[in-house]
Amino acid sequence: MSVLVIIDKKEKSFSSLSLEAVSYGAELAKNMNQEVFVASFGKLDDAQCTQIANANGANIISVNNLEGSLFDDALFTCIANELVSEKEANIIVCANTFPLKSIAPRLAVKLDASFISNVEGLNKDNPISIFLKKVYTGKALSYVKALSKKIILTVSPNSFGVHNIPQEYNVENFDGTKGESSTLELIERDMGEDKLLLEEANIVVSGGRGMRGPENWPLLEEFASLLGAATACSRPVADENWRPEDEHVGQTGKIIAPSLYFALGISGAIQHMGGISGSKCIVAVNKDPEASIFKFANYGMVADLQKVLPKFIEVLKNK
Amino acid sequence: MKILVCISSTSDTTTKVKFDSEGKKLQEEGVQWIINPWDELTLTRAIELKKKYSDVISMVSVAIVGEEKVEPTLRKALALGADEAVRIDAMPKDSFFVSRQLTLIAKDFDLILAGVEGSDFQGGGVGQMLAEMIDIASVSGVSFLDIKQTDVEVKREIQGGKETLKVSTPVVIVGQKGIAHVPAIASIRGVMDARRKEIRVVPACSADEKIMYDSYELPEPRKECKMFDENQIDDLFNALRHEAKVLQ
Repeated sequence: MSVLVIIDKKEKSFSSLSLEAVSYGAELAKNMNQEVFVASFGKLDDAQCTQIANANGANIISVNNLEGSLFDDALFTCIANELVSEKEANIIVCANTFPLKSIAPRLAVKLDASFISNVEGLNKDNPISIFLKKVYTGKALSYVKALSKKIILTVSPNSFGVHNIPQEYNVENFDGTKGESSTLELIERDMGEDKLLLEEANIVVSGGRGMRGPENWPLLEEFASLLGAATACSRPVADENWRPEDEHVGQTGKIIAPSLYFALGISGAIQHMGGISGSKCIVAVNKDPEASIFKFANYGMVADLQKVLPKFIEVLKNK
Repeated sequence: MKILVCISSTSDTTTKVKFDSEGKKLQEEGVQWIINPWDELTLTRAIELKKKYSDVISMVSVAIVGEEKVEPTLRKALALGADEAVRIDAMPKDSFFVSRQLTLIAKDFDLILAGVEGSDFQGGGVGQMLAEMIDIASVSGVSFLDIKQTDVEVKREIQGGKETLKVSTPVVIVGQKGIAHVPAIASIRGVMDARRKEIRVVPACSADEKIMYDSYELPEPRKECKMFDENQIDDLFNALRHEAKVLQ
């Protein structure tokens, strides 16, 4: 019996979501006195192996024959299944990234396993069969029991963290069933700018309607850049095309849990809060003292953003 | 081409969430039931596609796993433009159970749409599990869906970017933000037509659940917001650094 963690590369390195899966799987394995293996699709170089090892995953499996392959849910699930058999894994942790996390539910069917998505950290009282997760758009928590012996998990972003335990690693090469997708054909791949992934960012600066227009965003972007933060927005802003859709944070957008979330000119509608309730600290700036956001925020300021944003920037520059 | 949209009935997200004294069950009094927001988006797209490609798409069906009390939600889906609705008569337990029930009717369809997760239990996985159970392809994280003759074209999210793919049917598409922009709104005509459309009830098959939502609790309430006025910007950042410790 063992714990198998499945991750994949984001271009050259691993996202914190993959590394979080490694650290989580390693901790689970430690709790059960079992070994943990980390499998990655595609050839790994020394720097990448070191990243995995430092996150506490010393036993690495490199699935070489999938280097450059188009991700196909069904095909990659077959290979994950082969890895599970090979390592006799009874707990599988899939990185919570697209498209890799789509393996988890398919694998659960193959293995007749319990799939629990977005578990909130490790349950100290009963770490191996009861998991905590958010329910009702993040308004409540549920203790979820796995009823099967085999368990497949994804970890709620930033709920566990990435460990830093530098150590030696060993790599095993694994050739899964060869095959190319028979149902998918790639038309185009667009890697976008090298933006910090919203789900991974520790600090997020988000703008709402109160920013008044897309022309005011450069100030927000400068503020974000000084903080090393990712940028996000509320739904109306995305709907109006002031910002790209992939910045929309909320119930039907992205659900994030950064350490620090700046809500600038955001009223705090329930649907938006559903996307950010996991944030450790929320700072709200809004012209309207009655804005709902102040009921949810940790720190607040009633102010005109056009006046205070430049001052925020100055404070950061002077630090 | 026949499209199946898998939906669930969830509590309106503005509902105040309360549990019974043991934390075992949601208090349902006063709860408004709606089409799960993710499913509403995929349904919207299915109906848009049917209007756009009426010569290719012959039918948009909606399916739900639920007891009679979910029929108003099905009527809402019919009012939005679905041609027929199917209710598999069982209390939806977990994603595994629900997917197994959906296999009873899914094989008739070329394109099956599912939302990311239900806004209530947030289990996720129904679309992919269903695809695995009936041995067809699935594509997840789909933010754009179109039909190209008898093929499906999608854009899906990958780490750091997007891929545009051509997909052959049958396939399950698990949609997310972007698959439709504004949820459809039922017209008066739609509501009236919905009353005449059929809800087919299918008996459930026996199936396992693999997880159980054992108990619930509400998160600790946030402390009251500490307010700063616009002349106290330094104080705010100091609080973030030294009090909340979320800033270097």
